[in-house]
Amino acid sequence: MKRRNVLFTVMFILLQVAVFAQGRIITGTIKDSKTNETLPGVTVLVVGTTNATSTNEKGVFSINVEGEGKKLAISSVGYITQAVDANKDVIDIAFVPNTTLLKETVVTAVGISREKKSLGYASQEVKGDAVQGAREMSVINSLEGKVAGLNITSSSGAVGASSNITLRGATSFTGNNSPLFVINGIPVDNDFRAARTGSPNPGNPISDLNPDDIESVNILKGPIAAALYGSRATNGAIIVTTKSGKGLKGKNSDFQVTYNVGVSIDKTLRLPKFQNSYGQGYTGDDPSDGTGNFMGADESWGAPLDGRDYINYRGAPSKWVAQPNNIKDFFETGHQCTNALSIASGDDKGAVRVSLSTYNQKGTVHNTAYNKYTAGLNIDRQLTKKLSTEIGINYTLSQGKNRPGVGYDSYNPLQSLFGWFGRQVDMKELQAHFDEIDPATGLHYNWNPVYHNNPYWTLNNNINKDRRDRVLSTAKFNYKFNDWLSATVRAGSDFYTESRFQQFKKGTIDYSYMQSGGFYDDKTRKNTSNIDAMLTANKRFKDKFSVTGIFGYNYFRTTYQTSNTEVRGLLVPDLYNVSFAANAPIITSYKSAKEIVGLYGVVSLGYKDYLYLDITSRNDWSSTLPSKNRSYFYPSFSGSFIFSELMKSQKWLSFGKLRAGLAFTGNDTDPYNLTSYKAKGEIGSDPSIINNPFNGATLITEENTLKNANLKPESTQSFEVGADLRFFNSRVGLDITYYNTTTKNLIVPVSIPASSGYSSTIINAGKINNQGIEIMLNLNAVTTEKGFKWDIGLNFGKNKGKILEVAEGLDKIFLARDWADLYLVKGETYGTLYGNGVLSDGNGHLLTDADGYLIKDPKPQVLGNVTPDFRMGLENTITYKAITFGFLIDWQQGGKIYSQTNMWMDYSGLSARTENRPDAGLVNEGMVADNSTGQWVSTGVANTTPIPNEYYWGDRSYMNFSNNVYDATFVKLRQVNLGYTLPESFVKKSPFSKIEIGVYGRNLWIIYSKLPYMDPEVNSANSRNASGFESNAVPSTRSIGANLKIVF
Amino acid sequence: MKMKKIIIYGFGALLLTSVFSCKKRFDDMNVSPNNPAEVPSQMLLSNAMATTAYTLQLRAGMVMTDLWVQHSKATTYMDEDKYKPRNDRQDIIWSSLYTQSFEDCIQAEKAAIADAQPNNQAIALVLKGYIGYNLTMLMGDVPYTEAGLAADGKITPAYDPQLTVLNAVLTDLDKGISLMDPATGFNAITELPTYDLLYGGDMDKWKKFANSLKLRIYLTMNSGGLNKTAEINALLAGTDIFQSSADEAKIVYATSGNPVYQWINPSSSRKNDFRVSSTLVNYMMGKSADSTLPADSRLAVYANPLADGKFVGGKNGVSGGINTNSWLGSTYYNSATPFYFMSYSEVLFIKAEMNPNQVNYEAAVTESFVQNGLPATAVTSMLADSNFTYNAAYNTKLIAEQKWVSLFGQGVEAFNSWRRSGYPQFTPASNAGTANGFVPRRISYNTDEKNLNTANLTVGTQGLTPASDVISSQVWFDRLHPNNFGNK
Repeated sequence: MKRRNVLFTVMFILLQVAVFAQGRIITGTIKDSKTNETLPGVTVLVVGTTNATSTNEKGVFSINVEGEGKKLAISSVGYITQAVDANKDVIDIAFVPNTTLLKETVVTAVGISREKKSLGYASQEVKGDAVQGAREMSVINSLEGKVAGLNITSSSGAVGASSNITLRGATSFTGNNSPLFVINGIPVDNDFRAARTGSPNPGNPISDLNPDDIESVNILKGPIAAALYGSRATNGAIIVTTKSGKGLKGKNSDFQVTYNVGVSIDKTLRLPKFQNSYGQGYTGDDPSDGTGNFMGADESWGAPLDGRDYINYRGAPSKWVAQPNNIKDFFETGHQCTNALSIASGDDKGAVRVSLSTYNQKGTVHNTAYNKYTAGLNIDRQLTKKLSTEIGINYTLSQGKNRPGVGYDSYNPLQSLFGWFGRQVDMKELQAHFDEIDPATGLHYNWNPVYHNNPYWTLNNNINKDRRDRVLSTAKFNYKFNDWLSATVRAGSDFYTESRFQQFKKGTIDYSYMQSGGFYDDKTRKNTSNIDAMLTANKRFKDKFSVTGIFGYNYFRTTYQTSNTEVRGLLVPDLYNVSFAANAPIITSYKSAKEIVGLYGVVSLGYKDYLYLDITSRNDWSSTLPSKNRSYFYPSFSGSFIFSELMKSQKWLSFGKLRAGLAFTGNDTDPYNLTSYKAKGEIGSDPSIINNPFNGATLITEENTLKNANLKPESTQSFEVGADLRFFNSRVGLDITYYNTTTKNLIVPVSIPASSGYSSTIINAGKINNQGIEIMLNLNAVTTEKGFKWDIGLNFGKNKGKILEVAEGLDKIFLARDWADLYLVKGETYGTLYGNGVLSDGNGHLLTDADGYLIKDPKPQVLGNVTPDFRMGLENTITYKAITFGFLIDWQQGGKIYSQTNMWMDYSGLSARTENRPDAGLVNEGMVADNSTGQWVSTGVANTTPIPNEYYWGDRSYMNFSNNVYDATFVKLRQVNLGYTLPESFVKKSPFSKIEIGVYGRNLWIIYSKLPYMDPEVNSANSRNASGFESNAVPSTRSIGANLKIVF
Repeated sequence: MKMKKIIIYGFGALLLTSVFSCKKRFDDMNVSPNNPAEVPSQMLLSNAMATTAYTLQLRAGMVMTDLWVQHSKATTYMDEDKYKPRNDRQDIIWSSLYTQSFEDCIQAEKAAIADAQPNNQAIALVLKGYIGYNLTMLMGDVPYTEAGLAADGKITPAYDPQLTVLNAVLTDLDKGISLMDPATGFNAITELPTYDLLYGGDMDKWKKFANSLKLRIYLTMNSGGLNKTAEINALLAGTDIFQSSADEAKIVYATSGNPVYQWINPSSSRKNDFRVSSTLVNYMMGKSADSTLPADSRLAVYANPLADGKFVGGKNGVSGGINTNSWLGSTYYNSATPFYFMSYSEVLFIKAEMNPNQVNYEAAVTESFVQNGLPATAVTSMLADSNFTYNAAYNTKLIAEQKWVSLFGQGVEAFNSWRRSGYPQFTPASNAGTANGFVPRRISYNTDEKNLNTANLTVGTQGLTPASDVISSQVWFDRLHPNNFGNK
């Protein structure tokens, strides 16, 4: 396109404005074509302008039209938009209700496309636009607050961090509770795993998807919806359909190029508050005494920060003063940048779409980054009159650099910054001199030379890198035998290789076995293949009955392979090659394979488009179960009744549907759970690990898990009822669902007494029930004559999960541990925290010993349940002509969170709470107790004996976890976005068919939270199903960004 | 209509082949390619030996009972030294001894029976007995006869009273001894001597170890009120027990650094966790007024002098002392320093204890010097110190105290010996916690066990005095002592 044309276009527009500045008034009345009632609130727009109005309460509009040959576009929810020539002064319009609106189709299980109104179960669709506006690294996070019943917990504000995802609660004790992810009909892997304890968070594989490729995401919320996926969809399914190039809109509908560019700036949302009166050391340490004793402490119980002279860790003369901003200074401004280009072309025989995208993220932690590059090709083609094909191939390269470690581990630089630090330490000095080695020890200089690494040493020298190459491919053929019978074959695979590399430079302090350098090099390869073959018959009789029958076959295979190399000690510094290992490398490998073969059938009956019944059945054979229990069958039944069809005279009711469903699903287990094996002995842990082989003898031990040759499949029974109601010309929509799901015979690794010789066994036990309510309310609150529209969407999900049975003779099973323990307890909801506690007298008083110290309870105490009561999202969209403004508030009520960050901050005297330090010490509130009988009994005398401040806070935090267990309720301003679509009149004359500009903010404001210092939403547990732990996570970020989308 | 046929036949073939031919394919697929189901018994035995050493030396020793017997003291993490031992620190002793050491002995015994390796079976029985002895000494009534048998359906094993455990251990030792065939040694071919980390397959020495262990058990029974003096003297009179230091049971860490060294060596992050206790330093100083020259020269092995050459210990229960108290001895905690399952000097001390006289006393002390790499002559100057000269007037006390010194690095047995004899008399750690103001007398049962084997554990708790699962309760053999026995 020539530059002259642009200039001409601009001039033409200006001229238009000047010449046709005058116009005429057109008025009219708009009525429903069926009922003949006048319709208020109908939008009337002069096509090609931003000039719009709405009908008043009598259905009358009045609008100024400039120029000749104009058309009026009449639109309203629930009606077919129509255009009329603006060639008369009075135009009365008979507005036709949109019945096709209700013909909306959605993609359901095993890729079957269904009319939404016929479904007997709850599903919720999110359009691609919703995940493309305000950007997130992962599509998953964009769904937060938008889907009733979907619970997403992000793990940290670190680059590329993972999220924990559940739909309608957890149905399994310790297995995968994530819903099944299906992309274009192919189930994909979304099981994130950490290579090593505490090692960097690898992110969810689903984040490999390019958000710009997404056409829609359909969430099948429960087993009824997902029954045809069988074993794998007990937790519901998230069905992603990518754009194909079909159905292009706009003026270049045969060939369209779309380019999207977005940038955002990310800043730390919330930081802890620190005390600034006392420096590093224990009570009594004097930093100026020349001994350097204070440096042996990694706590801040030391001398008052009074400005005295001292020699710091680098041997530099310094002033003993507070550095109030040392932690704040550590965090940088991060950014994210997205480029997405797609080319699509379509005609009546098919379509092609090619897309490319880049995503680059720089984290708020120094030298951390995450990059993602995707390329995709989708071809959709009618090969012959009867044979059609769809082929898709997608490649993603995702690379993380220095993803920080998770939780309480020295991989995680925040372990020391938040939990263990000196308030006098100058962060800039640490940064400037991170590479200096202390000649006396050969280790780098650090404010504490014993337990911690300089965070900049960790981030600049102990670099980790990960890379995932992933190819997702699908091929589908459809052959139509005649107008009622067709066959479909779809094959696809999700294949990826992943490498993670973590180096430790010579001079590292912690881990001690890496002091002379070393590395981990882990490689993983995973392949998931899926083949579906099905015959579909579809017949209508006498225009009243419709019958659909599907018979299908499914083959599923997943293979996993990993090899891990660990080298401790390098022959040549900075040469991280296994050939130059100073000691024998430790190499381990693991592989597994699993197959499931399934046969399934569906019968769908419809009567007069208002009564529907679905019966599905499936039988699976899984390789992981013993041959006698390998085959399992499960049916599902669901139906819907569109009662509004029978009461058309009730005008207030636009649409009404009742639905109900019942499903049984089964689930298998992981490979190799049937017989016990021997394993290589692993004795000890850092810093004391016994070499194996030991002086030439390989140490072999019986595995700690006793396997079970009699495992049966898990079985889930689920029931749901719901209603989909729309009122007042669909201005109000209410969708409500109640569900009740019970899973029994859960395959559970249960702890058994160690004295039995094993620490756990795998059994069929356990029963868990989840019941809940999901409500979606859509309200078109305001529609004015001036084109102002306000839509409110509210979604609410309340799930009550109850552990009905754990296992015979057991009342709880272990789930996760990060100082506190997470258990599943019979009779409770999912996830009960246990941890250190102190004795009390039962009347609300703690007990102390004669010296004023709290007394440790030998038994772990219950700290609370981590499951939230409900989650609610409130979405507001305000449109005024071409401007869209929206905001989303996300509210989670209830649940407990154990904040390790807060705990260690108190323990080590860093938190602002510990600033008050009387010379005499502090007094534990409580009653003095006596132990002469062997039991601690209160003497009834209140304790008045003070104990040293550091013991007071140490016992209060570490001995009594309950002081740092908080209500996890939060209300957050999740998102604000403002978009502007350039007027069609402008675009029409330009080479573009659409230009959108948007600015947005994500995670802007914690409106309400009871957890001090940290974001209650951040959950640092690095294992699946573990929640309720907050542990030194990289703080979540507030992002502010802008997007520009151009369609050529 | 070629396409139609392809689809129909293809579909049919797919169904038939995959659904009806999957049994064998699935069975084969579900056999782990990663781990063996069976291994030769000696590989399990070697793991049992290494885990037992690791657990007793480090987990039950250095970070727990070494502090309680005041060989060492903590500087920073004071929980154990203040008698408020952390749950995880206690739990790991139980779990690693049962799920690794004990279970591997059970599995090794099964494999040895299946493969007709009586010597391996004998070693499995002796090791199992050794582990059982240590468990009951540390906790009290524990599962023994039903332990480690989950694969046979015993998920929640019963707790045997301590006396039952001790008797069952004796039975296993006797059975092991009867199976031993020194002529074949550690059986050939697959049973490479490498796997016997204690004796390299010398069954003659295993027999002496098994018999020497019986001495410990009889001593314990004596302390519990039975009279096993005749049995002890019969063993002491014979040659079935250790005859020299060449017979003693120890594990030598060569390529694998000993775990205590790994924990506290000068480049470990834990290097400052422990210092030597003033109780030990002050005792070994004897009458010497020069704190650079202790009367007992073993102190230079047990502890490193400060920069000024002085040996200074720290008070238990008082934090700090990183720079002012002596490190644990670098000679003693050398990477290759062995861990003693049972030493020759201990046998000599038992002999002296049962038959107190100057000869027996001095022989035992001398052997302890030898064990620490010191010349036998070094003992002369030590014995010349009147604190250490044999004196029939307080021989029980002196022998027990010297045994306590000789058991440095074997905290568990030192703890056992202290509870049997009441010597040395310890001043409890300052600011001490839940041990009722006295030195702890046991460790608590495993936390998981409390939840998972509650009923049996409750029965086991009845064997404690008082019947409460706390560290101040006394186990069966200790029950006759007052709760301040061994305290100052």
